[in-house]
Amino acid sequence: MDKEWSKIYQEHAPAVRAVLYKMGLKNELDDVVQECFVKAWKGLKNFRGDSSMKTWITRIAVNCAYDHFRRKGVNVETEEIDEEKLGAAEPDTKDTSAEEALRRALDCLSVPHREVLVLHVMEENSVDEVAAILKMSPGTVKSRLFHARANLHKILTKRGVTYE
Amino acid sequence: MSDHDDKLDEFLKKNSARVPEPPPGEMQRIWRAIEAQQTPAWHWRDLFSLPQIRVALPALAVLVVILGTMHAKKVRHDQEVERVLAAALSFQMEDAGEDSPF
Repeated sequence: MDKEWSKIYQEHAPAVRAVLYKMGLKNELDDVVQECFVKAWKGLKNFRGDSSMKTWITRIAVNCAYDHFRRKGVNVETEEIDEEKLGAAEPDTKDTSAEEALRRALDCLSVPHREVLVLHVMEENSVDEVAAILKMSPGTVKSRLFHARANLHKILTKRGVTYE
Repeated sequence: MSDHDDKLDEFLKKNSARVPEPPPGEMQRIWRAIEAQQTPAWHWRDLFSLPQIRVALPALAVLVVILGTMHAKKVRHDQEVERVLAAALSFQMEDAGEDSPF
């Protein structure tokens, strides 16, 4: 096995796995992690070091997640709440854990909103890092974060989940 | 960022789903997938496995036969011309020999 690749895998696989899982990949997680590292290996010779390796690999992971969602017929362009999922979801009860309630709520968010919350809040990347990963301006990231938080709050309130 | 956002972020961090462990041997599995995708060294025999070449092969064979036949005909024709010329020349020389004053 190539030593360079093995080092990259060991260093970045946990973060890649976390981003993909939190973005909503469940059963297909292992396959998409594989797809991401195969793409990273293929693109390694073109990696010029303009960004950090972490930023570069996370961008590949996010792109792989988008490809996966497109293959499944998910509209990845919209920033609207998935009302269909929101309406169809079973109501949260007292027995529903906060983790489960959050997972369901995130599932109703659009992919662009989910990704900024995952990258910035859950994976604790700075706004500038998220901007570099998603190849957009920090202003756009901030705007998306604002709308993502507002939508998530709306979903949680509608489902009767309190966090304050 | 407001206090409200802080609380939401805190809720997100605290309750974000625990990521499942990777399956055992994931690194080796991915490496095998990478190796499988690496292009093998090219060999001239691979040319015959190309669909375009496979389709063109019968036409190429017919072309070779036609060109071979044409070449054989030309060779036979040249030999014939040479033979006739040689015969004519020897006849002329014989003729010249008879009329020669020497």
